[in-house]
Amino acid sequence: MKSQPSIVSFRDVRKHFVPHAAMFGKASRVRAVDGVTFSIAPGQVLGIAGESGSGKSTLANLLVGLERATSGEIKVDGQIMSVRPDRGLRRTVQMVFQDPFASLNPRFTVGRSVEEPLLIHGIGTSVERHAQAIAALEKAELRPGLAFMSRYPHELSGGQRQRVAIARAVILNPKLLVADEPVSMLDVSVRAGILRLLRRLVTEQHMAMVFITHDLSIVAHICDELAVMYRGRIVERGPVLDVLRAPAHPYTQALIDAVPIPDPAGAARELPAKLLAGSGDAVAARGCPFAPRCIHAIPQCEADDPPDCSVASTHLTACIRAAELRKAVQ
Amino acid sequence: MSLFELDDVSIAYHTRESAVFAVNHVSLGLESGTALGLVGESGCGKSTLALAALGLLPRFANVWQGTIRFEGRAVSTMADADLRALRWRRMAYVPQSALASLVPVHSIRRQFRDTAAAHGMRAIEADRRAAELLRRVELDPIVLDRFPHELSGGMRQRAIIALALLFKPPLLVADEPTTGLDVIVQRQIVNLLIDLRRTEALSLLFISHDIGVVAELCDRIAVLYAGEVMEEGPTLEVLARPSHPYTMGLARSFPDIRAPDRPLVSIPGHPPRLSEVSKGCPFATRCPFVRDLCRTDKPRKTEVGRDRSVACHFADEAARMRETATRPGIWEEGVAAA
Amino acid sequence: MSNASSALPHTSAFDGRIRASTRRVVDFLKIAFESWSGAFGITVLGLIIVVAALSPWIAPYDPIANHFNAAGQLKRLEPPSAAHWLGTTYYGLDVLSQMIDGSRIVLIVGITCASFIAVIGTNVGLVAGYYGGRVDATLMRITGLAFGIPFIPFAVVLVALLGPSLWNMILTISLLMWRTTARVIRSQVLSLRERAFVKAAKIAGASDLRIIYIHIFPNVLPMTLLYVAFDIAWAVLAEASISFLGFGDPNQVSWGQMLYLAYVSGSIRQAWWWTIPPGLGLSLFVISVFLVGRQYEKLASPRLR
Repeated sequence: MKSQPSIVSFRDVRKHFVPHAAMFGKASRVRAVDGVTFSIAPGQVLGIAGESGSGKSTLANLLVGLERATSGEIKVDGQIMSVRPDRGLRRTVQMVFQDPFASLNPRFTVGRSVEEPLLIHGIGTSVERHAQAIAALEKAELRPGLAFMSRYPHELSGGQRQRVAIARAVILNPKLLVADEPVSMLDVSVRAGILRLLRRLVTEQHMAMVFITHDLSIVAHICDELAVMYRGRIVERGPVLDVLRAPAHPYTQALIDAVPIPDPAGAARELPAKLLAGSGDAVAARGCPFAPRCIHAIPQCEADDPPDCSVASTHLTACIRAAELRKAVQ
Repeated sequence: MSLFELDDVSIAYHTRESAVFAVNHVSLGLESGTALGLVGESGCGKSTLALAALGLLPRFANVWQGTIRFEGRAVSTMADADLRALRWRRMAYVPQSALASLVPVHSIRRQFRDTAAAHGMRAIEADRRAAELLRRVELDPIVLDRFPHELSGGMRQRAIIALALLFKPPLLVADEPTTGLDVIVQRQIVNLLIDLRRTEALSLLFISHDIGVVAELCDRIAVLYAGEVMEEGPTLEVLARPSHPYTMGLARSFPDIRAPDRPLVSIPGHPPRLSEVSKGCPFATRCPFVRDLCRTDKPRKTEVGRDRSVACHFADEAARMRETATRPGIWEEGVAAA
Repeated sequence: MSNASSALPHTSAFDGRIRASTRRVVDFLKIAFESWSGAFGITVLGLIIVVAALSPWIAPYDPIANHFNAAGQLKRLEPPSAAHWLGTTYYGLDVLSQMIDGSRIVLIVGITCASFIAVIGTNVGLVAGYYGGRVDATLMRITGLAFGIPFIPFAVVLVALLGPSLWNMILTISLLMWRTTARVIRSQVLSLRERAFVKAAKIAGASDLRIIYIHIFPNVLPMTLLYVAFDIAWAVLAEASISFLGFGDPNQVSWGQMLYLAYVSGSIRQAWWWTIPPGLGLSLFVISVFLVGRQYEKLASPRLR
């Protein structure tokens, strides 16, 4: 999987916020992204799974250049990403958003929205742009493309809007597509179609994709690799099926256990009380961020930052007890 | 006598031009002590039904025909004063977004007191009940003096559930209470509801688009599409052996974390808008088994097995359709309709 | 749907836009005429516009010509008659002609001021709302200043400095009245700039100016237009107030001016034919502008699908 040179590289990236003095508490730094490292090759999809507070939204903003990293290096297609990236870099990274309605300008027709990236970069004549927009719409499986060009977002269904947003994102042939929960606001019966579309575009256009989600059950349908984030750090990373079937980090295991399953034999699966308590507390400066909630925590977990331990050749986890816990299960 | 009953109910929204029907000839029953899950996608009418059950339809909507009954009494035609006596005391509501439903500038204690006062409970009693209920939903009573924005999403949702239980109502109507919450928090809320059902003998009308949650929580399930009931019956049976093509497709479009690489189904097209009225079966435009009859005639409710019904012209071929539905090509990825 | 081979793609898009705009105007008229208030408003407004446009031709006499009777005496304060439908003023001028001529000022002042106010206020609101930070603070401080300055004294001072002319009055009004529009547009922009489509434009590489004027502005335009309607009414009232106090342009006939002259000549109690028409005219104009604005609000606000 890493045989090709990567097109996206994140190296020890940190993003810290210092909020204004909070009304009810001292102003401490919020370590939204706290030392994240990964790389993606073209044609590969990396899934980032996490709950609220995990830092995945900040990660997305860093990837597209809407925020500047406090430290660390972000490279896309060989160029360093900074805030206010130049126009050239703007063409290499695009984003698909969670809310398909909010991501389209309500006063623009579909055609206008899809042509906008071309207009911004002064590409093509008006006739050429029109043709390219139609082609992009048809690539996003909206056929006939011409019929959609003059429609407005409020006339379309959620799934159609998201396809328009996808057409707009790929019209410039970006090298990296960041998809931020692209299906969570769509009806369930249309989700699979959008996921398949994204997967197909990644392959056809030889892009890399970062797929951000809180829903672990869909990641296997689109991602090659899965990284689980907790409080700004990646706690586990590896091939998606490996991570889902044999999770090495207690947090990943907790996430998987929490997903509802229609099981006639099952009583409600109880979550350990330690997991439920203290989820809102600030993260300590050192030590594993999950330790306060982890039922397997030992004193050493809170003492030092856990290094990445190898579970298999490409499966890593930031848990010092990973190997021993695995043996216990087997 | 069912605790809660919908008898051939149709609900219309009145626009300047015409009336559109959000709910069309729906008949459902909820027995005391059970939980009924209403499942469907956007535009299926489930939220409208929840509002109608509590008499909370907006001014421009009304129950066009049919009756909604609670404990035998017709709620849809009841005077407002009588409805108010029922609300919260006999049936309570848990909305989707706690942040939108709690007054942002009032403390939690104040919200409890206000709700209590609106239905005839004194402040002292309200405080006592509030503390007791918050403990019941695993919140520290210290939360009483906090404001909604100081609590996390999960804590707010639990506070809203506690608020709903203020008068120990026999029926709880919950409209997507776990949507938008983190998965661990969602698990907490689902476990809490299961527990409450057991200990408080609570009946539950649970509305959701998430089949997984409904499967864990509800005894019976009703699948809605475009304002009509497609299928109804015991939850696990309906999900394991669906009789309606829509249920077959819907169940297969839900991912299962235990089988992460099982291919997902996507039903081509999209749920119809309220303004599009269909003469025949509303699912005809997307059904892989559609025949001419489906487009012209509305299917009638057919009994299939014990306590189960389905609205499909070809219900007797359900077994064959079910078998075909498992074949990947039948739900072709399809081209989104223009 | 449409056959692409026949029409050129970009012209059909343009035609589409024209058709969409005409449809919107027709929709608006339909809604306005559905209620009594809307119909009333549109009719009165339409009447005033027509009168103003045709005023040189419909006025029976020259508005500033003195009239003498057969005996050579000035026809002072004559009540309405066949020759003078609305009577004459203290100075022997025909009231009806003055009313017709004065309607021009109403429209000129109304539309010009409203345009200036819209341009200043919208741009201040857009820039302040989008950039935030120091730019916002500075612009809002200026806006606050504009709110703090009382209108009439400011008008008096400015007229005293620059002299009483129509353009100075338009300037006075425009320099202060943009403040409300600025605030309203700013708050709209504050919420719009967080929306995903703005983020999408930024990521695609749009410059700030492009985002403000091409992406955000079309979304605040309905609000701008609504305030233009109200600003027209306020501007006309402002002009009438200034004129009534005697600071108006002495060379222009305006309804406010008529009231001033009636007051100053001591005829305000007797000559109802001189005072009621301009007073009524102003009131009707302001009411109908508000009524029409309300109808527009109905069109712009979301309705059920």
